[in-house]
Amino acid sequence: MASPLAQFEIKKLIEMEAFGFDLSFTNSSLAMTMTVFSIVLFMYIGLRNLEIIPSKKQSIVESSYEFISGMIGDNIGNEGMNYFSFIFTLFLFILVGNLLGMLPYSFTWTSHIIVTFAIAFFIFIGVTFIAIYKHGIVKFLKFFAPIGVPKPMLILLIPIEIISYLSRPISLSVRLFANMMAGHTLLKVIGGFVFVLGANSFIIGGILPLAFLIALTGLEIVIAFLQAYVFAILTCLYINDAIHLH
Amino acid sequence: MLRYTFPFYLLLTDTILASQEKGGMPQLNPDSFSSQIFWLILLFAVLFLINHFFFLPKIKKIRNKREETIQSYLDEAKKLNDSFNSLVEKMNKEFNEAKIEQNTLIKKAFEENKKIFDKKILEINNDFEEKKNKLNSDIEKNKELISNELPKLCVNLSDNLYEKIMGEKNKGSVSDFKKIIRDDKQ
Repeated sequence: MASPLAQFEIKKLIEMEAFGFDLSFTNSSLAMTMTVFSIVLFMYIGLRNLEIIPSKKQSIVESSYEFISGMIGDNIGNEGMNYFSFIFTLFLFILVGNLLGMLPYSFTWTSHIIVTFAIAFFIFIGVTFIAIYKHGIVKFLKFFAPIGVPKPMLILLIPIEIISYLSRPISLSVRLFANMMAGHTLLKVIGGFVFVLGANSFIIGGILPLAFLIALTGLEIVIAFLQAYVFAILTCLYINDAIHLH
Repeated sequence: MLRYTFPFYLLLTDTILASQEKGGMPQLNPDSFSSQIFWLILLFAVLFLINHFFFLPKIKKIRNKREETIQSYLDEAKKLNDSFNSLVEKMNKEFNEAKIEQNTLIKKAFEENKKIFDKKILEINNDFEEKKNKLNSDIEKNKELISNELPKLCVNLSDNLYEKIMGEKNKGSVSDFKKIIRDDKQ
């Protein structure tokens, strides 16, 4: 039986190289391109004929806009609207990436730690830059020393705060990557059960794991939404911290 | 059964071998890192730019337009409501004025009618009183007349009766008659 991890294998489709770096167009890049294409298509179809009283397609696009706008409004406030385009793109990018990964024989690029880490790292850098730009380096460093804490406690708290701040990109990226990888691995394992048990017991033995596989697929779709939401909302919270500090 | 499922195994062999060769999680293989990061940055940037400069302004524009339209309808509705309220107020005011005027007119007419009625009643009463007095005086007159004439008539009648019964004439006097009547009364 194929290894459940074989589905995460990167295969080069078009070999490319620049400045000594391998920039090949791989199956992961293809999946990402499909994600971008799907989002552009979704937006294009929804916004083709704009009406004041929206059509169903326009309503779907507008509801996604409203969803993100509500999320930003609740977590950051009006100042957060400057980052709307970024959070909107990020949410749709991860969501569609997760959902397209659910299609058979497709590739889930969000199950690769390097991709999720790169996104989380850029967010981390961006958020730190915003915080320093808005409040200056001194005020930003004071962020690591909680107000109203006794001085001896600061010796303990400052390193903890710094570690927790630095671990943000790791927790953010690992959360998404681990969820997607674990889900897809589980689907593959259960899929293997369906195949092997069905093949060895005149199909009957495969029925139960198949039912389980279907239920699990539903769960994975929910997780695809949930993880995209969690990623976006945590980004909002980090931006909120950067804007307002505390 | 194996015979039927064998082709599927063959299809999967390629992947099995690939994963077995490298082993472990493909995610941790650094060979593809540079390519993945490059395509991520490129594609995310493209999507961000398309969204930021093309799609999102469109959504913002239509939402603003919708809000403006709703606001204009709300304003118009408010204006209509205000004018309706002022009309209702005006109507109520006019209605109240008409009611007051009507009450005054009814009161005035009632008082005028009452005056006429009282006048008529007074006239009737006066007339009645006059007629009553006249009648009373007539009765008194007749009574006096009767009381004056009746003794004479009675004396004549008794004289006549006496003459017929007794066959001789008798001449009675009124004073005797009055004396008889007075004695009877006593």
